Amino acid sequence: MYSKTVIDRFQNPRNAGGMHGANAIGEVGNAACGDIMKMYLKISDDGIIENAKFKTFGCCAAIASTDMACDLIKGKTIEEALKITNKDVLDLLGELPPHKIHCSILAEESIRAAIQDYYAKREKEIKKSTKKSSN
Amino acid sequence: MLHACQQLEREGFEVTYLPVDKYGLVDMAELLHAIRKDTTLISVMTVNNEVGTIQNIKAIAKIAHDYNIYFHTDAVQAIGCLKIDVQDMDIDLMSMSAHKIHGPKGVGALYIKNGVRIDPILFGGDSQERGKRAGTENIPGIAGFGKAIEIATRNHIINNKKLKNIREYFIQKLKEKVDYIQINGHPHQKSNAIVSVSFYGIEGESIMMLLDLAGICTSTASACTSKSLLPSHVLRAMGIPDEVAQGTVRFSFGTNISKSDVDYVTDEIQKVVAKLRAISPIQAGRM
Repeated sequence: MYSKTVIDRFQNPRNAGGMHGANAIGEVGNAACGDIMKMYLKISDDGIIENAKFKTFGCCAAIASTDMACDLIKGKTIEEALKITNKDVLDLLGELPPHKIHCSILAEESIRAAIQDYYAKREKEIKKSTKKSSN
Repeated sequence: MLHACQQLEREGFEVTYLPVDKYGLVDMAELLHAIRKDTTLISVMTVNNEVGTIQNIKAIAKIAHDYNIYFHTDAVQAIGCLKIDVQDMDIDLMSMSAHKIHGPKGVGALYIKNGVRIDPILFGGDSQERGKRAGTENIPGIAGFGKAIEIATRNHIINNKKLKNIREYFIQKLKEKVDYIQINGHPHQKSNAIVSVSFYGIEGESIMMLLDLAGICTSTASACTSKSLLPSHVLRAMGIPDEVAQGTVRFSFGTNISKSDVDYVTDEIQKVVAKLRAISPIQAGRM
């Protein structure tokens, strides 16, 4: 049913767990569908993703997909990370059964959600600092 | 059963689906309320295959016959773990399957009470099985099923006692080793052959997979094993929230399972649950 890579990533995920000092956190999915993915990123001031971790409630494919997504974006710029799609996750995993493809899509969405969170936080900071300087 | 009913609906019949209580029991008042003048058949599973709750079959059969309605029961999960006397329980039609009692796979049986007439669903072969089912009889399967039934019923009382002990020991060990779990189904009126456990904060298929890699076979009715993304309709009907239903695993017991097997299995469950909870965004204690 699953490729060796999927089983390996599920059994021994490389990027599982939360992260202290994450400056971008994205969460997608819901428990009713059986998948919740939370992505933690540490993004440097010049926009490089220095570290990526995840926490996932979900099946084998969901855990393997988020783990692989973390590998894909580590060391990349935000622009590069935004270009990553579920297809890239699938290519690295080898293969997923048809009804599990949505797991790779959720992994892609969790990257986007985390980056969106990063931008939202940055916007707040900028607003704060411009307020201070105008005072 | 659900799919057979859906097929009947496509053929123009009207079907009422009855609700169950939080233990999975059919409510007698609801049943009486749902009966119409043109009701022809009541069908209730004897033992639910996901949570093991035993329905009040004799009482339901009595209600059916009071209203001149045929009564059918799906006893696939029940034979071997429950003493069933079709005459005493006044059952008109009963479905059974061999694989649940260590018999060969791919063989089943339908008990039909004398005088109850059914139409075939496979056509041709007029003389085979008295015109009720076309096709050459699967003799090895039938012989195997017969032997399996014979063994299952011969040792029924001892087996049930063994299963009860092992099931209770399993639950006791599990509760000692793992917190934030719930046992689904009726506390007393239940099959001793299975137990349905919900593990808070984690998902059923991933539990099943990790246990499988440790040599332990379980099953789940949650989203990910089936092609539908919704959790089990049985657990939903019992009012169990989706996020709890998603973390549900069914353990089945055979009479050959020893206490040391249970010790091993519960140790592995403890490890698997800890591993998955460590990487879950949902905190089990907050559900």
